[in-house]
Amino acid sequence: MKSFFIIVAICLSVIVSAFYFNNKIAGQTDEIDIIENGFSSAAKIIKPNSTLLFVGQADLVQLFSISRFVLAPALLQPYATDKNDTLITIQKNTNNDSTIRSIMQNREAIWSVTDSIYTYIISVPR
Amino acid sequence: MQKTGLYILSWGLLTGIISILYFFGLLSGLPFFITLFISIAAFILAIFQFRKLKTETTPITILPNALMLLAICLIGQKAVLLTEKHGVWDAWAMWNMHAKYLTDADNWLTLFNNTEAAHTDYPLLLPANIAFFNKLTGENNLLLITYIFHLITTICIPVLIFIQTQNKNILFAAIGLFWLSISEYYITIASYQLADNLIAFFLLCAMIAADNCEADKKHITISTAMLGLCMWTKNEGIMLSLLFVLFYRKEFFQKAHIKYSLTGFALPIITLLVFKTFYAPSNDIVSGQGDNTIQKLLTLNRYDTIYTAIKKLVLENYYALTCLMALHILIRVITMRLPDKRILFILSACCAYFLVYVITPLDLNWHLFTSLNRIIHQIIPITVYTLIIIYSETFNFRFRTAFAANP
Repeated sequence: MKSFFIIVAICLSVIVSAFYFNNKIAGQTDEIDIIENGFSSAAKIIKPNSTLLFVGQADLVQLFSISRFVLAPALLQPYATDKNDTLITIQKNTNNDSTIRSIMQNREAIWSVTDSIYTYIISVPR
Repeated sequence: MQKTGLYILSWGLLTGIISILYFFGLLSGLPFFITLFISIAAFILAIFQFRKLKTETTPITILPNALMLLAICLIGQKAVLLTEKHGVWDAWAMWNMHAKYLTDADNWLTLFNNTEAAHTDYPLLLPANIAFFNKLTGENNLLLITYIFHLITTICIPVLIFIQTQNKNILFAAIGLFWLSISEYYITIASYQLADNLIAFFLLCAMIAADNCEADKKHITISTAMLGLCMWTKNEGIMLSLLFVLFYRKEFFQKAHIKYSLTGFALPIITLLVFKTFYAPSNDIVSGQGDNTIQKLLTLNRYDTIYTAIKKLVLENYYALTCLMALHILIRVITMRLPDKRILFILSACCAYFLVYVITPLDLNWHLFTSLNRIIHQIIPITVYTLIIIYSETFNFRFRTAFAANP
């Protein structure tokens, strides 16, 4: 058998596997997809060159990494002090985070969305 | 070297050319279509050079081909069942996130403003390829592109090993092929969508090319280019490549070979230097060294923790490989000869990893838990390849006469 046919066999295997991946695996919904959907209507506010602060529910450390991945190439930085920057917050609907509540007292929400698990808010200083 | 082996090596070369030209394209602000045309031209040029290489003319017979086709189908099927949609944590939180930045030619430098656990010091071969192919297919296919890219590499590894070893001993080669094709543990790690599988692939390509340098000196260039790409893939790649060069210094640096070696090294190393000097922040393990490094080196508990973790992982998942390596060393000790150079390289790589864990500024248990399995994965393909070669030389197996084309 010529080398060409082995390369063709590899390509065929990859195509079949990719087809299956696209139809079965890529259609599944995980936490990344939930957060991506949550932010889908914020595209007009978050430009690719935006820099935003982030604060999420304290016990869910993955929220920062997921949001950073979903919103890239915008730059997301963890909230440390209340600078005059736009702030993104994510918290669970069932269990409001007290830190986020106190931060939001001095801020005005310019966009917010709630899905079945989280509430997403983009805010600016009052 | 077999012609099919060269075609598989050219996949590694293609990923290298794309990543380097894409990186320089971003740096110089070149439009994407120009980067695309230069990449195609550079790849065609490289393929023309490849075609001039002397290859083995012995045809691969029906049985090896049938085994290979079966293995190719098995991997394609197993990988899709074992993969996760976005890959494991590091895949989306680092590699694919870097790729998303690199896809945006106007804002890609923002990547380096990420400071929180973003590992922006990692070289860009993998993210640049994902970004390139993502851009080529309309910027909306990150998941599929990533999956396909890693699957090609995963399939190429056992096929390349089999092609290069089947005429030495068909039985050992077939065992190696199917072990790599059906091992759920191995394919699961290969399907993590991380750069460790690429490191394993480049290291294997470098070793195979170096082993064939007597047939044609141009294999030296391929070998060093693959080592350069190994460095341009991940920081561990730099350590492994330096170690490899140390073991293959006679092949790489003898007077007649040095120009071939430097030709292969030049472009990836220049790219890596530009990246590390002007863009990448310092590596957390390197910058975390200080006064307590000596103290860590003198703490016996750390050695014990690392040894226990490595022993557990290796014996649970790579028991046969460990026994075969031990047997080879035992035979060589009894016959008062040094173990095979490739085995010594693999053991040295393990020692180097061991040392990195000893001095890590991160929490040792956490570091071991999150990285040891994929670090060991990097050296599995070269271990399988080496074991097939050395045991083929040790045993003149009777099956060979039955199946090989040139017994």
